[in-house]
Amino acid sequence: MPSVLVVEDDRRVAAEIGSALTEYGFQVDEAPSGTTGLRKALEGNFDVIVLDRMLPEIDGLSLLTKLRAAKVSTPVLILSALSAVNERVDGLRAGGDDYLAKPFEFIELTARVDALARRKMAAETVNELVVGDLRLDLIERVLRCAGRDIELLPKEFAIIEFLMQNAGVLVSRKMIFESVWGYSFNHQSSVIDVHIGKIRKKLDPDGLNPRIHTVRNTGFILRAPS
Amino acid sequence: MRLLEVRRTSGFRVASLFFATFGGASLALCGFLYVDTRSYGRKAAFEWVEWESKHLLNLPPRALRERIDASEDFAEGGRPLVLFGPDHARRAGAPIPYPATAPIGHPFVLTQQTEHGTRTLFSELTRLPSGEYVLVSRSAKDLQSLENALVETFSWGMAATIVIGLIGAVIFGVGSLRQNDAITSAVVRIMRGDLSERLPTRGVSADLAHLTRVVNDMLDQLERLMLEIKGVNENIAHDLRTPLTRVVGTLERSLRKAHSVEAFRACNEDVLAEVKSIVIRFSALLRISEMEDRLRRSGFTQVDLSRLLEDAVEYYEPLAAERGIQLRWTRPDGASEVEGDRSLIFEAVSNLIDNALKFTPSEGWVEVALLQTPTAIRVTDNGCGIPAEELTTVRARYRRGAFRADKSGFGIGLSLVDSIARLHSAVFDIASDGTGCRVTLLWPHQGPESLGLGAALIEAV
Repeated sequence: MPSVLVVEDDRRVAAEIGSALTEYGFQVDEAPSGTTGLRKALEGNFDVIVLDRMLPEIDGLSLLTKLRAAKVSTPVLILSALSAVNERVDGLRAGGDDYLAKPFEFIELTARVDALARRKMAAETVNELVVGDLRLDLIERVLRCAGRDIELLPKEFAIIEFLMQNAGVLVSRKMIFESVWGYSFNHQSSVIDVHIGKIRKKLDPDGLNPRIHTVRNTGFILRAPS
Repeated sequence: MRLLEVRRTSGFRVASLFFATFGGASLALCGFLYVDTRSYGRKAAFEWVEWESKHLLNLPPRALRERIDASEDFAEGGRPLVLFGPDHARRAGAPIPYPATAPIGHPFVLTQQTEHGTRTLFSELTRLPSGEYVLVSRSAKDLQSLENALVETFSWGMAATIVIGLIGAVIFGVGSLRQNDAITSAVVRIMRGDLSERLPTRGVSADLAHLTRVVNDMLDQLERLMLEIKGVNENIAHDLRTPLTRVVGTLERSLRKAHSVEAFRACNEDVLAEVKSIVIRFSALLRISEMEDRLRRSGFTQVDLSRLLEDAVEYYEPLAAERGIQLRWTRPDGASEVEGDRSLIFEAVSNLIDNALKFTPSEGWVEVALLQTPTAIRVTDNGCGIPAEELTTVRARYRRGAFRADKSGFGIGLSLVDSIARLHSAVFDIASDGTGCRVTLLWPHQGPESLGLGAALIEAV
């Protein structure tokens, strides 16, 4: 069971995050201040750290800098009420792996924490991704579905690669957009759904074996067909 | 009290400094003229005395005696001659005693006490072959009169310069005090809340006028921002009230009518959807105010617009195809880079394409073009267009054209694009001829100060 350290000074928010992550299957430890957070992060062996930007005693970014200086490479998701792009860049520069601005949806938070936990586990480079009957050759850049080659546009390839990397995990539209297009802004559009729809049709023209499942109002999960 | 203030004004000080400098230069010139005139007069007098001495020596004794006798009653300012015996006793000529210390055969200044005061003479004492002495003199009175006249003239001149200078400095000081008073009272009115007040630019000196113009421009900008904030606040209040009312209504309904878990869950989902929409509106508003923070420019990098537009077109292509709209992409051959924030420019472009797709019917087209010299992004569509009366107000924050009421969207997108354009010193323009829209994001070469030229440039592109 992956473990997560939540460093958040607001008790109610911390409790909500803890509850959401526990429900999702994580083992959660909480730290209400920067000092406690730093001590626990240095002592414990966590898979992911959820770190609030504004904390009493030591602020989030200083804590992160100290952590990285101590060669602790645990993936860190920074939470902040400051949504400015510069804030995000500062957070990532200090050694953060992902950034989420408040207010956020808890399902989005758990999806991102899960993605980070998996990234830590699958840190080694792979040449091929396999999910059920889907095989993605990252060298040849070819997708095979149930033995047949699927022709994909470059961005479609990137989307399916991201989904396969996070197979079985909920990924939000924003996560897909940020990972595939590489731009960062909070956009509210259903364009990603259209891309996913096209990929779905290519994978499963008859609609008999759905692989990419929509989670209402949130995102998608790629699962091997049952 | 006011006189003391005048003394402290920069106008008074500058004028005083100018007149002091001018006065000093005049004083130096007068001094030089005085010294030069004096030394020229003395030199001329000594030359005459020497010449006259030589001339008298050449006269026969009788003629010499006659000349000396003739100068016995010499008047002040005349040219007295005196004959002294070998024993230095006066024998003839003017009543002047023998100058015991005088050099023989060389000119000298002879000062003599008389009953009328001190008399100064330019003289030369010459010894005759007979052993007698002749004193040839010339009174210094004429030269002294000239010197006195010079001193008097120069003194009056200096006095007049000082008086005129002081009057001038006071006039300048009063002028600058008036300017300050006018500016101060304008500033006080602005401080009291009258943001429409402006600093005076007429009747102030050119250098100050430049400064007041800059301050007035700043006030224009502040006033605009204040009005925008006021407008945004009113709009926030207006726009958030509706979803908040719905939230309250749904919650009350759930307490009143919901009796099953399913009913509560349904209400809960409705409330959640409303709260999410509130959060989206709120985030968009915050982003607009964030754009006003010019500090964001510190994170600017070189952005390849061609690559960015390609990404954007690639992103919207499937949506356009699904709606039966042709999405065209026209790019120039060369690279077009601008300094900026790539995510923000992408956000602006995606807003423009999103809008174009939203208001273009099936079978229509949307064209995304990158233009060079000057660099511009242009999104054109053949959709429903914007009525002329809506064009000027369409960019105002939160303004959603009534003609678009059937389409979804928060109407904040174009405001966001406008803010992003301003942050990037670019010009945002919307044109419509009734059949479709043409929106342009243009980077004028001359920089942000030439933004006023934007509309003309957009027409030119």
